[in-house]
Amino acid sequence: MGLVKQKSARNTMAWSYFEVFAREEADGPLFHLGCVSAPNRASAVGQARMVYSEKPWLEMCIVPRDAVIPVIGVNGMIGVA
Amino acid sequence: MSTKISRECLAELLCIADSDWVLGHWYIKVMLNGRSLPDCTAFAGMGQDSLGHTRAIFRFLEDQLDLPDHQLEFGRAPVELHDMEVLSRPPQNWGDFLATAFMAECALWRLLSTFLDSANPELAGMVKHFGKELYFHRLGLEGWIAATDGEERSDMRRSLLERGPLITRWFGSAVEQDPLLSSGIRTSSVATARDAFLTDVMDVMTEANIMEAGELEAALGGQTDDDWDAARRKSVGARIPDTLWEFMIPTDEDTVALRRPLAISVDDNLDLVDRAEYGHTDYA
Repeated sequence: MGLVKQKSARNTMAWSYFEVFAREEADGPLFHLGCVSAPNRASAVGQARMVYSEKPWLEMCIVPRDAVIPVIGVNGMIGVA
Repeated sequence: MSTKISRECLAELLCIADSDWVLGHWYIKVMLNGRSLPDCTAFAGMGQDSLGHTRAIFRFLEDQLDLPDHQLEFGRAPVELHDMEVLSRPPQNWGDFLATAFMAECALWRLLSTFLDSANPELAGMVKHFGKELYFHRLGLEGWIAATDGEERSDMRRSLLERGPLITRWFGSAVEQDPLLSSGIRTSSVATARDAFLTDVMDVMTEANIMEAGELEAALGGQTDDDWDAARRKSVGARIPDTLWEFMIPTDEDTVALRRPLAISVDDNLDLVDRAEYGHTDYA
């Protein structure tokens, strides 16, 4: 392997979070499995498939956390000006 | 058309299985170089897939050719392996790892995909299943490639120039007659697979601005030499390094003592799906 100096640090805190959902049976619900953080969408898709491979899912999808619209939030009172 | 697996097919599938075997060990070794926990987990998953595909091909061949069980994994000497020669040199840095692993994944899939519509239904089904999993390997690597910085991109360019021609060479030169193609075991030619491999690499590397299309196209055109062993898709006499082989099949006394008898380890059901003792992991 390369020298330690060749391994540059990366600010993984700046990566985006993606929520992962999957369906086990055709008439079953879409479960929230967890999340992955990744530098881009391609990487997130690959990681979601690898990380949550414990079952032969019928369907799996990811959603950027930024795209989630809060209805009831843990931080603050939604709807209260 | 014959659906019987021939000795030529054995050699061809070993080129894929042995290369995936080595690549799986690359992932295991590189696992702790991931930049985040999901990175490390993804490498573990990719290693698991690669080793699983290798063993599935081994068992398929042993079954079809009436070979003794486990001979292909434990009964061969290092000189008998059909591994991709370019993987014998370990990755030199993160960029080199990404570029080489991506090219190797593309090459393996493209050669495998020539069997997608094989006259042998068991082989065709296996390849289709592998394809679904290998897509995510390439996608994950593509994402990491796109997220590299300046120094890593220089390393990747160097890797493409050095290793690219060797991986292209793996497809060999166009043969006049391919017995696997004429028998229907394979339904598309190796030349088609080679072209598709070049397109895959060009698309991703130019999209990520790693290299210009013209420069990359010129760099990837690997030619076979006189010492080319077409059956093993590597140079005559080339063999896997001892240290890498020891990592794949450890022979030290302690490891051998710890290794469970094959009859037990192979029959273990490691699939956790739908086993009562793992019911607590159900999401329902």
